[in-house]
Amino acid sequence: MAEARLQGYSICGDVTFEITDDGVLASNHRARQHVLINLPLFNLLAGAQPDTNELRAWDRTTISNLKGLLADPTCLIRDTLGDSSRFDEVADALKFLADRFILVRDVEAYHAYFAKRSSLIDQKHMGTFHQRVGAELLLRKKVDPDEWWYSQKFDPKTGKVRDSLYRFVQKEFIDGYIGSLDFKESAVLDFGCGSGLASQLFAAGGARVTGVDPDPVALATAEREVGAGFQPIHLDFSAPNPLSKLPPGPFDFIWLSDVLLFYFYPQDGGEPVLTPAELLEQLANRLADGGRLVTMNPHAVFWLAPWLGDDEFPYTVITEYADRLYSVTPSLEELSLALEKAGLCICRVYEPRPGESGREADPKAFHFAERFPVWWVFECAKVP
Amino acid sequence: MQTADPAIPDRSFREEALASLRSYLAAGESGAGGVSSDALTIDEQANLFEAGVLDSLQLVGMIGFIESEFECSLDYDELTEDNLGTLAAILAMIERKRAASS
Repeated sequence: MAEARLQGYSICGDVTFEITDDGVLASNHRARQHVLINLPLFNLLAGAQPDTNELRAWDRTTISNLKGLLADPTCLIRDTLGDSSRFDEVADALKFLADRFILVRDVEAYHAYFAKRSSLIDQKHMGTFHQRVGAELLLRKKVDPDEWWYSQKFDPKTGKVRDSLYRFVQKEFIDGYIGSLDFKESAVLDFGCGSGLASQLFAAGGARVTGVDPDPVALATAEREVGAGFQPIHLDFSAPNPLSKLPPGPFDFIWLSDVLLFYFYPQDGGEPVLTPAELLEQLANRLADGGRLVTMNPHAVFWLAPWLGDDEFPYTVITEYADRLYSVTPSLEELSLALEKAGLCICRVYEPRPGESGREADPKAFHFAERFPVWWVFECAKVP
Repeated sequence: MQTADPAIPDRSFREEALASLRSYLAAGESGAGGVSSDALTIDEQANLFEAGVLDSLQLVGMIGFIESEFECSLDYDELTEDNLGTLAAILAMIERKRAASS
């Protein structure tokens, strides 16, 4: 019945329908596509007689992260409604929905869409998060991805962490955590130090800090900001054996903030220069007995498909975890396996919540991060 | 009346465009580093990415080159492998755009 009514299409099993003030929002959470449809079009899908003169739909899909990295991996346009598409023929309306995976005809072809992209201009596959953002930045926005990534966390004018979850969750945790430890006379390796956010705190606590980063500009900023007690090391990951420039240590404390995810899932969608386990093993070899290696990463749950529903009580729909294509962060099993292979054991896990300062600055982000941890932190030691 | 120089063959637009693309890719004029010299000899039907002639950053440079060299504008939706994946596809797209604008 449905196939005849929908001209051979069926409603995709990954789609939910949400009634809103503007119409019915049809969302394919796996493909991260959203279409707002008017009531006559919804009635058509539901089996009622449509008024073909009134069939309308609004494409509500975007790369929402372009408004801020932590904004929303849901890919839903939430603000301006924009122009609708109006369909004189039922077939045109159905094709519009099928092109956006609200309807499907060939289920095998639909499943084949969920694969990595073979190139920057491969639009036949969904691709990973980084592939999708890269294509948007390079081809549509025509901006430099390196500058864009930096600007997500820091205000390029002031160099300060933006008023986002980076500040309300990540920076507040780092301030409290590092501030609670005694670094006097300690040797600290800040691997992926960027412009020295954490290195400044280690140095203020009395540590000798070795800061490592592939970005020479960020490294120069870190050197300037941290001052005495900071040794910058530039790593060139295009060179063979890129970690050979690392000093042998031993280090009492090794810190990796938003680093490991790029070894699990490189930004170009390809294979990493080093596997996470290889990187961790080389770092663990430089860890003093009794020392700690601490890695802070975006939480595995956060990146899946969050931030639906009400601002005060957002919810998430999770469509992938163990077999992931969007693939920004590893699962708990993958991460713990890499740590084990490197000869490390997990002493403690933190799942930081936002500080109160975030409640007014960005209520939606605050309420989300209150209920779903945005980062997790693994405190590790060498296996005795 | 001007006569053609017999030393220079009378080449069609397509041939000139192909030579122009090949020399651009071979010279690495994108500023994204050198591009493989395979670009001079690669088959028109061969996939430029699979053959290692083009990577993502070089592709961005090549899109800019096509737009300026052939005085056309490429919309985001046109930036697909069907239009840019091989030299033959690129030439076909350029010819379509020339025909549409004339």
